[in-house]
Amino acid sequence: MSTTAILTQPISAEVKADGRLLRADPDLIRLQFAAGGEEGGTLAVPGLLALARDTARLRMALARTILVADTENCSEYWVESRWSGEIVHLSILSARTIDAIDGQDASRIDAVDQLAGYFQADVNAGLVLLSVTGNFPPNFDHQYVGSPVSSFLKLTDEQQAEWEQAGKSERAFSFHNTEIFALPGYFRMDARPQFSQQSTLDGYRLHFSPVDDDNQAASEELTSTSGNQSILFGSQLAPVLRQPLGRIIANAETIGVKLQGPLRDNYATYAKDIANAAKHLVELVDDLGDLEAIERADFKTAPDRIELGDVARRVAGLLALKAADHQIEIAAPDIDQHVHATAEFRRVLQILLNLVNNAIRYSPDGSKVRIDIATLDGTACITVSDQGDGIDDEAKEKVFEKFERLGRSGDGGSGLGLYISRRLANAMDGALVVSNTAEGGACFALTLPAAT
Amino acid sequence: MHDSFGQYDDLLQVAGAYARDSVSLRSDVAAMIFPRAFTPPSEALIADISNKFSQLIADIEREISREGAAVSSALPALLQSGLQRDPALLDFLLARNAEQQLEMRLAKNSDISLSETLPAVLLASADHNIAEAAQTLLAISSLNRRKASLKWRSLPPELLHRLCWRIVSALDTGDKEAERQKVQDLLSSYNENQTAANAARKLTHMLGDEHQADKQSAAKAGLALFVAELADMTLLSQDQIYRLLDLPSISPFAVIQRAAELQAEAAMENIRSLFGFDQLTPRDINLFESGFNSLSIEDAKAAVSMWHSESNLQAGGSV
Repeated sequence: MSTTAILTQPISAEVKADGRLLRADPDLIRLQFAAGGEEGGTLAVPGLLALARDTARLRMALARTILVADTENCSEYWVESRWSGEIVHLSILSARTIDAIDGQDASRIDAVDQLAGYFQADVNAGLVLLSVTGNFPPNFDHQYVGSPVSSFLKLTDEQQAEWEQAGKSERAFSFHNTEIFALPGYFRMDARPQFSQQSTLDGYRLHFSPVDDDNQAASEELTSTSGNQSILFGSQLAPVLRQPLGRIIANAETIGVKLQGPLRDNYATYAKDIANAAKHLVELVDDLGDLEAIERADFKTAPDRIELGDVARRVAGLLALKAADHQIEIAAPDIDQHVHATAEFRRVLQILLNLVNNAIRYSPDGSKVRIDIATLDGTACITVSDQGDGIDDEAKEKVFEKFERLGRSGDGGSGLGLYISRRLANAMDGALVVSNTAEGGACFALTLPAAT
Repeated sequence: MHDSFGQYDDLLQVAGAYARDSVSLRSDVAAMIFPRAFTPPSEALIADISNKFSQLIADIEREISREGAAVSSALPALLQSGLQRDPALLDFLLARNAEQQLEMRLAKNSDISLSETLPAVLLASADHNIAEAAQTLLAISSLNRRKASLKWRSLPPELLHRLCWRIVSALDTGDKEAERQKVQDLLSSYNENQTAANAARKLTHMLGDEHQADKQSAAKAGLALFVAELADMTLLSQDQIYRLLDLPSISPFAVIQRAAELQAEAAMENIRSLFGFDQLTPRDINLFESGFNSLSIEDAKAAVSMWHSESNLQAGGSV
């Protein structure tokens, strides 16, 4: 609930371009004092100061709501501004009192402010600054637009390496303590990749927010809090979807195998189609849950010492029946072959299940799918190769993109499996790539840090 | 086809109903989680955005060019510079496309004419601030329903400022000083109050709770005021809401309305107004209402917060 009071006489003030208060009505002076400012000093209400500075910078008539809150009261003001004679004229036309902001709203506003950043910069794929918006430092745009990020950003060797790695995997990343030349203090930098219509990396949007000891602690707390938030799809909606899908599959399979009596063959086939379509939906539900999890900023795996031969043999066992349906043989590593890696068992199993599933799906009946393991230059490697048609050179990166089906449909794939697998591999400091075998089939190679 | 499957009729009916629900639910859920990725831009959308881009450039150029040229001479250079990929500009154009689509759908599905909407009623307000904002909204709604071309006055200030200077640098008329002066004149004649977004925001701020029900009805409030009210309640920007409402799935719209604490009946009515589901059966309506009520307001707000964050971090379309 809120109440609005439209003022019979606007509260006005005059401010210099740098935000210094030249003249103000008594009510605004009171607001200035309440916000810790002084008469003739810089505007102390952050929203008013930002509006005044924007007006001076743009030299335009602006209007917006300004939120003024302390621990007890919260008011929203409608403020209009205009630029005239090198002075910003501010007018507060109305005030709306908003009932005390509850904890949730306050934390959302904090989170939004945090995410909105202190200022934003767009850089292209070559890391050249294209534009800067928000509360950027004076002359920052004139000085640096068109220059490489290294001209204004002081990055450590580790940060440079991380950026390079993130660029290869086209993922978002954050640096908690970044230094900007000529600016005091440290900044948190959140970088989000921007993509072109052809899904190629176009550049990054960088969000900078100043970090001090207090808000660094708050920022860490915020991050840990967000980690505890429930995942909307994975934990809440996926079970709701799986239940009806399970019933569809059960009902359709009952019909398909004619458990309740004879049925024309073509209708039994339709029923099997329904069951298969529902199974596909279940897979998609699982993929969507995984996707939601891995795309969260705080997604982490739990690395452990695992044995890749063991994972491979388990996968071969799990998919043996499915392979047998197509007279496909899965050749897993021998029991005495061992390669140890540092990775999360469950996630490696998930990646391998996806790769072998794909190999079965796209291989001709009667062919062979091989799973091989090896240690190469301190890296543990597991490969899945098939005797299918292989993958064209231009599609070798495309297959790892979200929803990419390479024009296929109706084969039960969601276009998410390889995207998720690569993200998982990267999250475990590994990589997932594809090449073609000498015989022409596809060969997916998952590399992971070798365990000592 | 057989008319009946005998002993399988019941099972088939159940399986069929679940399958239809699951397919819809899957689309809706996917649209909720990745609203943008789920709807890649169509050829028509790309053409409309390009058209709107050219309209804007030509409109600004007419104001600042020495010749007042009817055909844009800056456009080729601007296209070459990649201006049409400016994320803020793209977001603005995509939102205007969504706004126009929604405005036309509302005009088609609503029984209430513009003259009966809340802004029309507010024209008679004793407060001139309210009356002026209402007049701005009505004028812009009317232009949108006629698919009028975009004008520079509709741009947000930062974007207008940036576009003007980019156009000046792209013009090659040899009289830069005169053009700069014209840009200064144009910028100083701009008033953010005359944009639809601002006028609608002003009304949501100034109108008291007695107008709450009207503001939360798309048909009664008119599109701009309704969207501004949802934005006020959810902290999403108005342009984000336009784009989310224009998705093929009604799920994001339902979640936004839940987060804005609308009642199920009002939410359904708004969906009818903007999506025009004439064929909705009582079963569909029951499904919607039970789904709407089973989503907690807190979860809806959490989902909306995620969209807000996503938009802040990944602003910019991919057209």
